[in-house]
Amino acid sequence: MPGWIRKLDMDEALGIETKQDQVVVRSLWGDAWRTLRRNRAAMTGAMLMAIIVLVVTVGPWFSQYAYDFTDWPNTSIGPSLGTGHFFGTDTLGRDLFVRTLYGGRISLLVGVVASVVSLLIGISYGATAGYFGGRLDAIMMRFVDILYAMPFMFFVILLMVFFGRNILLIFVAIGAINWLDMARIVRGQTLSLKQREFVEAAQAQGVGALAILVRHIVPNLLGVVAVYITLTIPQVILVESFLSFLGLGVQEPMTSWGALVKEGSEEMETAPWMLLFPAFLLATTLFCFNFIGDGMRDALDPKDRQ
Amino acid sequence: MRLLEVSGLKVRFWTSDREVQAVKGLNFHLDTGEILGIVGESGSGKSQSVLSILGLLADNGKASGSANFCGQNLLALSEAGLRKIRGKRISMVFQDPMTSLNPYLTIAGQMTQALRQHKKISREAAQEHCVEMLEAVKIPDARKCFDRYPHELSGGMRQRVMIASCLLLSPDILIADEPTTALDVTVQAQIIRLMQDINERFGTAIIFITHDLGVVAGLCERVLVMHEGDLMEEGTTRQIFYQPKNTYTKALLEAVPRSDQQVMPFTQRDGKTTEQGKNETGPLLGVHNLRVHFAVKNPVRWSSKLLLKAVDGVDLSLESGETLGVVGESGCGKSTLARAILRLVPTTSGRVCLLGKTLTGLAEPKLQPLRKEMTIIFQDPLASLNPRMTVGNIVSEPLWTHRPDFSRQAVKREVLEVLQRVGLGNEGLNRYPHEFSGGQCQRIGIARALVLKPRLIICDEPVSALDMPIQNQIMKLLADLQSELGLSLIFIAHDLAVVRNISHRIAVMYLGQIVEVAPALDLYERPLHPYTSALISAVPVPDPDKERKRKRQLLSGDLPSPINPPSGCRFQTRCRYAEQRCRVEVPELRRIGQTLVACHKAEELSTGRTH
Amino acid sequence: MLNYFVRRILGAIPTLFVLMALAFFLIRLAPGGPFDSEKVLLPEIEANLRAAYHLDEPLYQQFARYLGNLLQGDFGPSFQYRDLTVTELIMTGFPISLRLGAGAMALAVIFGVLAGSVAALWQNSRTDYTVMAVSMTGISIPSFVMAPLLILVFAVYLGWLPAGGLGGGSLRNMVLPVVSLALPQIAYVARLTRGSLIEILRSNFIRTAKAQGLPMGKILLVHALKPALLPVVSYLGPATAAVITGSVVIEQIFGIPGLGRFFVQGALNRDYTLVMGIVVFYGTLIVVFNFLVDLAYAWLDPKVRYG
Repeated sequence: MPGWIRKLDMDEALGIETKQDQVVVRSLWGDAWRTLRRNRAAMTGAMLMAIIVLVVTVGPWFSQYAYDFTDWPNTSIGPSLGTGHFFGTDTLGRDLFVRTLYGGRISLLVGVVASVVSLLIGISYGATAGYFGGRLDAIMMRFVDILYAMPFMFFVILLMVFFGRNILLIFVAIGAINWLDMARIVRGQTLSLKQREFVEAAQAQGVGALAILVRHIVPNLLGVVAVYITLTIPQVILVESFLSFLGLGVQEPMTSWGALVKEGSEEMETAPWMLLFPAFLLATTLFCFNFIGDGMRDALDPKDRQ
Repeated sequence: MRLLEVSGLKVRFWTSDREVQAVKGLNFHLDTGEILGIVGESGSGKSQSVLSILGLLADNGKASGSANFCGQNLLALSEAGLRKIRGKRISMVFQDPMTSLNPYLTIAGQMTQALRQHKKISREAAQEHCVEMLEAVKIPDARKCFDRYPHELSGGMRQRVMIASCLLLSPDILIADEPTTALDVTVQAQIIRLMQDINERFGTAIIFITHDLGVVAGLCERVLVMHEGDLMEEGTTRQIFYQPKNTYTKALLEAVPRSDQQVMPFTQRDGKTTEQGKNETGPLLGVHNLRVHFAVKNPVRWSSKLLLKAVDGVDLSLESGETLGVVGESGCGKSTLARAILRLVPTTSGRVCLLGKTLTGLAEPKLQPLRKEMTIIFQDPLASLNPRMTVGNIVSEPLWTHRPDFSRQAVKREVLEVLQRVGLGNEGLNRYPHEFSGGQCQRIGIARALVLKPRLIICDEPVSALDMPIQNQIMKLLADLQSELGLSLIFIAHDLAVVRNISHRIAVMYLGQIVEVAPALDLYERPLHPYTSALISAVPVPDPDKERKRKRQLLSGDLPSPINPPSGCRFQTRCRYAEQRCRVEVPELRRIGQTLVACHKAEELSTGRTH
Repeated sequence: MLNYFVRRILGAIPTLFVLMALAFFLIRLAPGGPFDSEKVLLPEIEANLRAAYHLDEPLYQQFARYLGNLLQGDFGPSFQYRDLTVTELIMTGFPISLRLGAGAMALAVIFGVLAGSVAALWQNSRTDYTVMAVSMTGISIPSFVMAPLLILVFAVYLGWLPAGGLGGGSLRNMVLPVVSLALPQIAYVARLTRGSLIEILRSNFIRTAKAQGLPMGKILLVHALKPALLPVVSYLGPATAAVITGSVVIEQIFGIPGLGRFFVQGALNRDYTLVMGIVVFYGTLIVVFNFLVDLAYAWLDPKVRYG
């Protein structure tokens, strides 16, 4: 047969287009972005989150007080513009505005860092177990199952009590709880990817296992990972707040939203602003992340597309 | 008598992007006891039109027009009114029997629910009637089946159960939406016979929707041809097939691959191989007594493992420049065979030799250089391409693996050349697979398989997922590439008609073993093995007169389990010629003329058989 | 099915073992000992006390001794409360925590499934959005924030309910703690039910049921309910763990003398045996409960039951 001209013969001749030869332009990320944009809750959440991050970062510069400065004449006063204590003060006279924002920095930092830690551990663990399968997978997942059944919080509390309240330890402890979920999800996704034909094609060519993981498996995990990271961050912030509430979080005078809520709840009858401001910011942040995470899940989940 | 009169039927959907018109104005009618066929490709609107009649469209769809059934316009009927009709006067059978039955209820539970919804009878009476219906659709051991769960039954049985549920209240119309598309061709033949039976016995009118013209030719009295929501042509079956008036209909008829004749001569079919082949000593590929067994968990006794014998003793050889077709139904092991040859699954025993070198037992590093001589093309075009890699990278990857010495420019040159060869231009390099159509994706897959200039390409059902006109394009491309490059192909398919045009020789597999290997022409005209002739006979021919005059050989029963295959000849449980010897002794593949066949009674049957 | 049962049991045993080992060695390795908070003791007395509690033996021996005792139901004596054994302490605290926890789980399942089903059936309606928004609140506001707020509103401002304490076990004292504990779980269960029901309602077999003329009510009850609830059943395992964890905080806030309270105090006072005992006790509870949930799931899903 001469030449390599595209052969549409009869169809071209008859001017008939068939569905499967029409170019369908639907990109994966583009679709997802369009769906996400239409999700008002997620978009509002994203905007709010951006505002909160901005405020938390630059806010303290607008106040004349340092976060650990004790303003003795002005203890437990309500919010007032006159004294420059926008959110009021706590029982030691420390400015609540600055402390709340500082606490926000800590809470958000812990949230993001611990999530990234659990993400890295979770992806490597899950992808390895899922891809190699067999005995390795069985052993690795057995390990995860056992850890899953532990009353983890108790162990973390033990760790905190016995080894001191070191911020690094907090990262590690929290990261250690959350990687399990990520590992399980990544493993599940890897298992289904492994059976996809493009992975078989790479194996048939003789591409090495590492190259397959890096070129084929991991890039296709990104969707799932993106969703779960946005859902992990609020969980981590929650855990940190929980620990702080029990008095096991960051050391004084550093503070986080959880610690502030604890102090606030002790004084809530006499100085409700101590509870309300940090509680409000904490709840809003968690709300936003959950809405964004939900929106991302809807956007990236092909089943929900018509 | 006019049972159903549809006029001006329009169906619209609102998706997140825009409004889609699935059906753009359809008019047709159905008389009592008639069998009407609706054919069209995917997206033609055939399913949506019947779903809208019963009010079963998805929430974002809306139908307009009229559908008059015994004086009532179904499209204007309230939900309560429609419920009285559904299941009672008009019933529907869907495409996928696996998901159309509730996996959490027994057959008994589901069927009696459906029956007692419309008829006030006691539970016992309902159960009796259901069992009767199961027997009417020829389910063996109907009473036992009744108490089972859907996942315990085979695909064909499930579809029969669905049909039985539809017939419980003796409806006037039975609508069947691609009921056999998901089934094997021999099972399909049984279901079609069942439909004819129902029509004759109960006088039920049937609307049969399919994309398979052969089925329509044999079963239906009148046919509607749809394309992209429009009615292209309507007429009696003979009119449509022998005197098509519409250009689309004509084109469709031309494109249909036929198992009974050579429509498009793709390859030299006299067994000649190319120049390259004559220089080789011995076959290109040899498979000797290959067995691939998988260990499966035993649900009953967890200490012992069960063996799934996917491939159980296969011998094959392939010459250079030759195409070997491998056909068989689901579960016969053809895909496993392909993967075993490529070492994608571990082999249990036996040998595979490529170019004289033994592949089985070779460690991976030694195997690697041989991998560039054999590549594979998969069934699902989009799924076989990594959605996160550009087309250029996808086709370059084999070069990265096997020719690390190539510079970037050299790689690019090779990739562009091979993309040209398969009929794609240069702009594709930086685009992603989802930007291409199904046919184009398959071309990319072929390019990837070609770029290393292999000797052997294994094609695992490469056209099953494509619409017919595209199928032909891809087949032509493969045939051209073969003759130009001297490639050897192993072409795996379940569709005999497709395989016929491209293969020099064809091997038929059943339950993990090869039952017959013959030159393509011989296989179709003089099949020697009873399974082969049943298989060929089951494929519907898109020629109404021929199809109806043909004597059909229906296989009884279901495919046995590959965990516990029958003793002796595996086919004996369903073979009408089986005798004592067949139950005990395993037949060897032996030569009769140009054919290799594994049947004790091959000579006997070949002399006495008529077609 | 029996096979499944046996495998699950065999799986649970190593889990329990690891649990105990981890807790044991962690506590032993921590700085500080059980007698640190006391006034300074004479070295001989301290040595005697250590010997009496077997603290001078090598670690693995102490562990073996501990395991042996455990199998007989003996958690050892408490280091803080000298007259009481850990077993007695657990038996005092557990019934209280149990009432709290069981109440919360019951609320979670009943209201969660109800709310989730309503949201699914009227998907994308105002009711749906309301239910989803409220459940989002339940998840986003931590219990230690919600509880004080509830106390503020219902106990301080409105005065309808007591602000804390057991009140001799009266029901009024249980309301706020149980509700605070239950809220996040109600939210999770609602979302889970909604998602699962929506997906089931889209399946092909529901379409078949519709095509057979069944009305929506029947379809829901007969066809959709069981499969839709399966994920909820699976969730009961982790839900129990979450409720147990949450009870630690709730008991602190409301001043309820349950096991959670004992645990925190024990940790602060280095009461090895008490802390170990509670961890092992709760851990075993979770493992056993997960096991039962697995069984229930297998019983409900015929694909597991009949292989």
